Order: sequence, then C-alpha cells, then structure tokens
Amino acid sequence: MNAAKLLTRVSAIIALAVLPMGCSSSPESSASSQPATGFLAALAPVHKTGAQIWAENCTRCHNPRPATQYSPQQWDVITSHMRVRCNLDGEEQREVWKFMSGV
Amino acid sequence: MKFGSATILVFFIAARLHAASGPDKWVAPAKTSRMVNPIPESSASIKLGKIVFMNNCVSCHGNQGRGDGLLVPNLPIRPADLASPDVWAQTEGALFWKISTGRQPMPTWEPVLKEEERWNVINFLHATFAPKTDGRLSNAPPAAAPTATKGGSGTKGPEVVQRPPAVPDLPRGPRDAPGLAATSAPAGASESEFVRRAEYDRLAREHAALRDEFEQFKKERAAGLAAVPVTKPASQEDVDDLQKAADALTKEMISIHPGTEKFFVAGDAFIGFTAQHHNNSTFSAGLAPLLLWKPTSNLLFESSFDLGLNTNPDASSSTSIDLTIADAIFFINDWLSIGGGVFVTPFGVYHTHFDPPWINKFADDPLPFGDRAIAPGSSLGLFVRGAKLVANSKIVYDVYVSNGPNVITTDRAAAGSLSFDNWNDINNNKAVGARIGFIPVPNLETGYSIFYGTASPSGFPSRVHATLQAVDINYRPDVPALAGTFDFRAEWIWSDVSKATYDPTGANGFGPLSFSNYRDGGYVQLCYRPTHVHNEIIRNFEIVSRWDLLRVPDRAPGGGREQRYTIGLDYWINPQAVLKLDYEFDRRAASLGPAQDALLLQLGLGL
Repeated sequence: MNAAKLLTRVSAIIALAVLPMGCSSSPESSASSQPATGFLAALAPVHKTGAQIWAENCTRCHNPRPATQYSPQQWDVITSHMRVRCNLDGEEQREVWKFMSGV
Repeated sequence: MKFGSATILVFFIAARLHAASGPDKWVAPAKTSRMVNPIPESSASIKLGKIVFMNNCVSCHGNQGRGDGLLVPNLPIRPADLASPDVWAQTEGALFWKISTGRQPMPTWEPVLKEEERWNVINFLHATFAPKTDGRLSNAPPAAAPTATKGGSGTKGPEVVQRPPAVPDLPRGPRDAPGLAATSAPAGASESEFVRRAEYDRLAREHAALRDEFEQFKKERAAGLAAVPVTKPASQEDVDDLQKAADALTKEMISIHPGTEKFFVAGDAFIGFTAQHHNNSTFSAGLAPLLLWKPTSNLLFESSFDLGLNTNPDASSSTSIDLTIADAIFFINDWLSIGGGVFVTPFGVYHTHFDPPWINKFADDPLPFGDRAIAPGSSLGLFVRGAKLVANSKIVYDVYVSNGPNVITTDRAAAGSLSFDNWNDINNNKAVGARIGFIPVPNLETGYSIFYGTASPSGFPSRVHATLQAVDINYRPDVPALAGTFDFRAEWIWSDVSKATYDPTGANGFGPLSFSNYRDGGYVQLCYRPTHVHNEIIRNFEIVSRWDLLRVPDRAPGGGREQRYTIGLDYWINPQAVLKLDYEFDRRAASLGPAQDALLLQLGLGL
C-alpha cells in the first residue's frame, strides 16, 4: 500500500515536470530560433537513419517483416499505425517508411 | 524444474557447439557460377551499382562492406565481409546467383532489383571492395581457382586466376577461362602466366571471331551514321529534364500499382489446445482482424475486433465479437497526435505492445491481464499521445480521458472487481489516465502508468474510487557470447479500490459484505533465442519462461493468491507464425480450488 501511495506522488511530480517540456515547443518555433548551445545542444535529437530507427524500435517487440511484403502505400499505413501503437515520432515514422519502401 | 534447467543447459551447449562449428558453406550451383557479367565495369555502371548498394545493402554490409552495418546487432548471422578474399574467390556468376536468391536473413533480391541493377552492384563491389591484387573471376567455376594457384609462387592470399597476357584484353565479351593452368612452368615464372595449347587455340579462335564481328559492326555503324542526321549532343539540362520526366513516370507507375489504396487489412489469429488438471481438455481458436485506413497524410482510422468461440452454460455454443479498437487519430505535428473512440488503453504495455498471439511468446495472457484482469484493455474516450526525442533517447507520453471502469456490485461471484468493458458511463464521472515512458538506450524501454476514476454506479450507497498504477520494463539485448538474443519483459500493477459494503441489505443474497479492496499482480518473463547459430532449425527455436502472480483480498469473491511458473519452447515457422508449447505450474489459495497445472499448445499467426 505504501509503495502505491509513493508511486502516486512520484507520478504527479513526473507529470508536472515532463509534460510541459513536451508541449513547450513546436517545429516551427524551434526552426526559427537560434541554434542551441551547451547543455541544450547536448539534448538535441541525434539524427538516425530509417534502418537504425527500424532496428531500435520495431524488433524490440516483434520479428521484422520483409520489406518486399507490402507496397510503399501499404507501408505508409502500417508505419502510421505503429506510430500510434508504439509512440514513434513523426520524423521516425517517415524515415522507417522510406527504409521499408526503398524510397 | 530440474528438467527445465537441464533442458536449458543442453540447449545452450548445443547452441555454442553449433555456433563454434562455423557457418554452413553457401555454394552457388555450378551452372549459375558460369554466368557471364554482360555489363562492362565502366564508371557509369559502378555509379549505378553504388546507388543500388547504398539503398539496399549498406544497412547490413556497412559503408566499407565489412559486414558491420547498422542492423548487424539485430541479425541472426553476420553479413559477408565484401572485402574478404573468400568472396572474390567466387565467380561473378556465383555472386549474381547469391544476390538474386538470397539466404536468410539476406533478402531475395531478384523480385526487387532488375537484372541489370544486380550486375551493376557487382561491378561496384568489385571496383570498391575487391582486394587490389586479384584478377577477376568472371565465370570460372570454383574448382578452377585452386588449380590456378596450385604449385605457384607459394604466396598466400586469394585463389585467383590471372588473365594470361597472350590473350588480348577484349572490349567485353564472353570471358570463358576455365582451367587456366600451366602444365610445365619455367623456373621463376608464375604458372598462371601460361595456358595450354588447346586453351590458347580456343581463345585465339574466339579472338578472331570477335575481331570479325567488330569489323562487321564498324561497317554497319558507318552505314547507319551516314543515314542518320547529325544531332546536337545532349546538354546537362536535357539530361536533367529527362531525369525529371523519368521520376514523374516512376511516381505515376507506383501510384497505379496494386496496393496503392490507403486501406490495409491485417490482424492476428490463433489455434490452441489446452490440457488442464481438474478440467476437460479443449481446443480453442480466435481471429482478430485489424482494418486501417489513412485517407489523408495526417488522418488515420483504426478498427479491430476479436472473434471468439464460446460454450454457454447450457452446452450450446456461440460466437462473440468484441470491438477492441474503433478510433480516429489526427497527427497534429511530429510529437503530438490526438484521437478518439475505442482505443487500446496505454496502461502498462502488455495490451499496446505484446498481446497479439504472434508477438506474445506464451499461449495465454499473464494473470493480471487474463480472465480476472485488474488492468484495462480498451477504453472509450479521447486521447493525446506522442514522443519527444532527446539526444540519443526518447520520452513517450499518453494522456486520456474515458468513461472509466465499473465496480461490480450485484454479482456474488465478482463483487468488488472492476469491469473495464463498460461502454456507458454509469456515474457521470470520467476516468483519467496517463503513461510516460522512457527509452534511454536502444532496445530498453521503461514506463509508469496511472489511471483514476470513480467506479461505483449511480445509486450505490458508497462512492468507490479506483486508482490503478503500473510500472513496466522491457529489454532485448543481443549477446554474441551466448550466441543469441535475450528478451526480458516485466510489469507490475497496483489496483486500489475504495473499501465499500456490497449488498448492504442482503437483497442479492450475499451481503452485507465489506472488505478492503487492494489487489496487485504482475509478471516477469525471460526468453532466449539462439539467433547467432547458423543452423536455421535451431535458430528458429526460442526458450521461454515466465512467472506471474495475482493477489486478490481473501474476503473478496474470487479472493486469494495465485501464481504460476511457465516454461516453454517456441518454434518460429516464419517471422509472423509461431508454434508454442508451454507447461504451467499453478499454485493457488485453497479458496480458489485445486491447482490447475496446464499443458498448452498454440499456433499464433500475424496476418
């Protein structure tokens, strides 16, 4: 019981601390702002190829399916579904789609 | 358990022994080895081959062709080192056959790459990665190579055939040079510089024939040039225009290719058999189609339903249809999506990530997500979700509001339990929930979930609140030292429901009944698949083990503690079809009846 109450309080703190971070910027505003330096630069996302994103995200849960199994249009629908199911970032979804489609 | 431990030990030893024995030799058929590369190794061909390589091969074979691409940690075997002399001891025909045919996990490229593209990539590979000291085996059968170097200068290295200087370097034609071996080489001279008389005569005849053909070609060309008006050479702009036109045509062709509709049908299915102590053995089956439609670039509709077979108390049968997903999602931007409808509840990750039978490595659900679930499966409401990339890690989030659960108040067998299949809000009070996950390094995900709502129906004397929390972790490390990949998954759930008195007047025949309603449970599972073993049969086996627990208050209907130990063996028929054999050791409180050890067999399919 104590563990559950402690987790409740921890969750409130995490929610207050992290969710505003996720809502504090938009692609447009970050694109127009000055390049980040120092600590902020260290937090900038590391660019990954579609193959890398595929290997790090898809295979964690299930066996990968052959790229030739579906058409590029079908991969677009599938990767969009997986974006919802396993919280892919939009850029990650597009890169994985390119990789699976051979575009 | 001793038997299980011994099985694992034997499996490990077998895997290590097999991995240590080296790869099975992959040899192209002799007939294909004699195929001739029809495309000269020109700079244009090399450039085209490079494009093919960068688009299709580099992720596994790596930029330097050393077999160290980004995907290697996730591959069951290491890709070939394209700079290895062993590779270039083969003929181009053999390489062409291997590229065309593939061997797991290398894809079959024949339906993907045109023949010309496959030859171009061979030209690129040879120009870029082949050891510079080699000659090139255009079409000599593998047996010719050792013959060529046998008794030679004694230098180690690739077994190659050196092109004899007596034979002119023809523009490009059949390069049939089997058995280029000298019968008696002068002292100090390399044998490979000589050919037999018969070979020389044959090559000389071919040379003469080619020379005649070339002369004939020159005459025809001269005649043709005389008839064709001189045209201006194409400029770079013309080439660019042509390229744009070709790209447009390609896009148009793709758009009319079958499967271009943004509508997709997938899903999963299973066929199972269960033999359980104190119960009749039975077959079971289920089907869960998944329908997806993406009419625009930022709008997605999802729908899924479970089709199940049931046997009713009166021994008649029925088919059930449970809608599990029926939602619409709008992608606002890269890190934010909103949606509504019936959606898979992001509470923990079992239902969102692992429960389809072709992904779940066991034949049944863990106890907290099974028949007496203490966690929600699907919810009806609105949700916001997304992900934020931070350096090399990622934070994912889900926030939602839904009709919420319903505490059962009138059923003597289940009073106090939460029902999550309630699509009507029974108390005009919405539930809220959230999950935040963190992926600090690739292949590791952790998360925390919380869910809160009022669960008592309108008119119930007590106001009952439900607070659910969960933590989850999953990790899938590749361990070459143990010749395989481990898959670790664990979740724990706490369900805190307000104390209440059920059936206070005794009208339902079991009250008044009052108890503290705190439940918890979870599972820990560890699986191992020998993905580094070269034998495909062994590589497709996976050893699975799981411990799961569910604790319900003793005074509650159906109360008591139950835990199970499960050990099993899966066989992956293909990436989306798995045959599972599990044995469950069941331990439960006396109030829940006798322990029900079970043998389960299941075929899980991803559609």
